[in-house]
Amino acid sequence: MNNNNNKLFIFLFISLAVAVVAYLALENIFVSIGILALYLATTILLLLPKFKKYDIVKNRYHECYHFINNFIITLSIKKSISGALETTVGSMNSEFIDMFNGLENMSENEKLDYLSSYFEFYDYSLFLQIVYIWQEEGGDIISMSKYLISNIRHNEEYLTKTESISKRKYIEIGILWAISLSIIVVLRFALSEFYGKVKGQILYIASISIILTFALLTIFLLVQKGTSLNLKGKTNHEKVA
Amino acid sequence: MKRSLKDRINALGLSYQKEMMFLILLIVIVIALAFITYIFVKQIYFPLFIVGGGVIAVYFYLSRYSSLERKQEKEHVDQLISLLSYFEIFISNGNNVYTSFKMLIPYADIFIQDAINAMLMQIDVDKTIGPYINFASKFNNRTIESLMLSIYQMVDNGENTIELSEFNLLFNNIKEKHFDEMIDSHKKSLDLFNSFPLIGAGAITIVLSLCIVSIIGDYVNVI
Repeated sequence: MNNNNNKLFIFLFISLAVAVVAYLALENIFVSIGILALYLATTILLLLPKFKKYDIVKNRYHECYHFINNFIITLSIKKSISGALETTVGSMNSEFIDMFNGLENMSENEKLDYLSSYFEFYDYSLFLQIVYIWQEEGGDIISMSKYLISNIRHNEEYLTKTESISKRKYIEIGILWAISLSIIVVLRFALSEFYGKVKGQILYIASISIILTFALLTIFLLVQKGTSLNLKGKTNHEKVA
Repeated sequence: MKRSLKDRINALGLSYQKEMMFLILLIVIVIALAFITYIFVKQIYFPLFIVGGGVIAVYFYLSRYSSLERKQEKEHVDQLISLLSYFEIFISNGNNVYTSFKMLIPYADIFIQDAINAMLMQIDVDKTIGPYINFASKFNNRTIESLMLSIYQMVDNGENTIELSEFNLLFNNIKEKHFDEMIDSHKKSLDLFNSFPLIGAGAITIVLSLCIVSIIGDYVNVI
């Protein structure tokens, strides 16, 4: 929630800053309000939902990793599904515990099956397969699941690294756009005499509006790329986000 | 053999009619925009600028099929490598190669499902390396070829532990490399955006220069 509020404030600031640049460049209140509205609408309708979806999938995968890891370690010690489930659930977050408490009437296996709708990743369904094989045939659960754990650890690392790369890129592109747009503001004051003659031209107004819209398009595409995750979903390799 | 544009578009899962309609629409919009600009501005530079932009847009629109094909090929290889992680899990849990491939089917997309089904059908009648090589040839990738070779060796040697560990060793190396590539490709896809603010700065400079030129032109005309 806090994270989303931060993003909302950042995008509000960007929208206002671009609207101010538009006003300084064009001295046209209607165009500036139009650009502000366009930035705000894109933020509310497209950008924030993308970030929200990304955060949900990312956090869900972290939970999935935590759950599988804990469950396997506990199962290797307690040798019972119910004992492993009880200990693992106790270490999860409150949202998960609330959801899990609603499954009281189900058997252990049904609970594990039900969780596949909560952890919508292929890795979870593979985990289930391994647990069921262990139930039927026995064996050492840790060695049975070592490839799965290594796979999940790789995905965790992938999530962490791509997130930090994306954040760095958001800042880089933001600074580059700020420098580019500052050219308009600097020239507006440096060439004020010339500017007085230009500001009324339709071509000038249209060009500046297009450039500011192009900046918005960059933000949108950047967020789209930055929040796309290569984590495989439950059916036919669909991407979860 | 070189395929026609229509075949390439269809192979990418796109509609040839829709693609062509969009292309024609794009050309019509560019011409109309250039014409309208000429009527309002009464100068040839701006319409020429728009037509130039239109030509570049059409070029990029048509040349994107090659990159889409490369992307599709890469996606298939990526998918197969992540599927082989599951294969590794199935094998390590005591399933044989044939069953492990069969178990992969629900997790695969249509292309890989078809490839696996075709391979399993060939294995039923041909116990040589042929079906494995045919399967690998669908991905046009040397890494997949060596992986399939290693899987065949596993089958040929009775799926014993040494062959299994050789496959694991080879596959883990490939997985590590693939992981680095995934991170690298994420970084590269974001690096593309570095040029956007520069394009913006360039456009601002061009617009302001054109405005200055037109004002100077007006002064000259008055003198």
